[in-house]
Amino acid sequence: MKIILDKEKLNSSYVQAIKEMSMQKVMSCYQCGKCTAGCPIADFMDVVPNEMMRLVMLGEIEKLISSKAIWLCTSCFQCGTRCPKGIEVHRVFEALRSIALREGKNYTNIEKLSEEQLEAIPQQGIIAGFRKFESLE
Amino acid sequence: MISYPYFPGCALSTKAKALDICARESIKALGYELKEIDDWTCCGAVFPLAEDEHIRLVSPARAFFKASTVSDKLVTLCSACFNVLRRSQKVLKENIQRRERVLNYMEEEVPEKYPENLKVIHLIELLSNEIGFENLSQKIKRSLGGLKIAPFYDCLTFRPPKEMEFDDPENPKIFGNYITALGGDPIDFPYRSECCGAHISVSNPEVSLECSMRIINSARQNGAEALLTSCPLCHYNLDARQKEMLDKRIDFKPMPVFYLTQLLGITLELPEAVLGFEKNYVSPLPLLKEKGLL
Repeated sequence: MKIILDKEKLNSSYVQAIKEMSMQKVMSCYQCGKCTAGCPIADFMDVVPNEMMRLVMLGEIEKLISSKAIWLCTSCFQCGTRCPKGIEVHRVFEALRSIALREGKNYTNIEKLSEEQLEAIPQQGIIAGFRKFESLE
Repeated sequence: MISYPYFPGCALSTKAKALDICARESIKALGYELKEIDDWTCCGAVFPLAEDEHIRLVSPARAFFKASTVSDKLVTLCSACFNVLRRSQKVLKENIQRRERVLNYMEEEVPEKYPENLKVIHLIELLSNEIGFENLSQKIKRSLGGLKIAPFYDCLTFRPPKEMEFDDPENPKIFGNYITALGGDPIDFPYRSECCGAHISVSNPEVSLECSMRIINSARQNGAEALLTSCPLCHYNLDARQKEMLDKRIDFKPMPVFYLTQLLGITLELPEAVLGFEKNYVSPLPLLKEKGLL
């Protein structure tokens, strides 16, 4: 992946929004990779959690918003629990999802849920699935 | 009889009824009462992680106001409700600015003083701290007879640790101690606190299936005969979806998954109708009959 360091990108409104929404000191990440080591979904992600942190630091937010990884995160909080720098990595994921959703980039579509799924999945799962991945606004 | 205000939540009122009914009946058999608070609304299922989302804390605040009129504790059992309610109370108690924003949405329901002392507790905390596991082992009518049960420590009950303040997130013991108190043999296994795939079973069912299958296989490899969970969504992923695991892997062996409260119900000899095993995809009945527990 080719990355060009760009002052504007580094201080873009996207980066500011992520810092404000997540309330995390993203710049203190030193890339130890413990978040990725603990992530149960990392095998399936196109951008793993520590790479995501690095891309946030470099201001490459658009790359992240269009990644599959932000929609695969289950918010299990393992990354944040194990971070030696105390960064709640899951909140950074959530901020990225929130930006995408607020721009109308929904990941799921409630109409596509099958009768079978609706019948079987507990409400908790359905509500969480749609609140995390779809904006109805 | 000591009565505790109780927040059952949406899943326990519909698809996870066994978790709910066994809880109410078991607590009653132990001489206490879970009293459902009036007119509760869905907790929201996920705690809002973005700092600028205030309205999502309104439903928890309503529940706290109702509970605080009768007690300083609010009992819940569903992992999602517990996670959302416990974290919401921490925010509303400690962050005065956010509290004010939230209360502005709900002027007519706001009591004069915010119930800062109200503590959201999980049913397992009621059993371990209020009743006590030692006392519990005296009160049960029948032991689990060394049944090998792998306690599954779901994400939402234990993490994030700074907000949940519940057991040790890396080395949890509470469900294992509970199984011991009921006469079972808790089986430790490497995947005990890995995510089951949670709500991504809605949008990416294949990925969450892999996560759940890893957990069951790990429990089996370590000698478990059954799993224990307190989360309705983990139960769906770990139990109901074993149908797909059987289709996918020819060598997959099904394993019964008990709700936390079903085990208590067995030891208190509650009737089978209360235990609600007909809702389990993998029926625990053959295992229980083999062990002489039914």
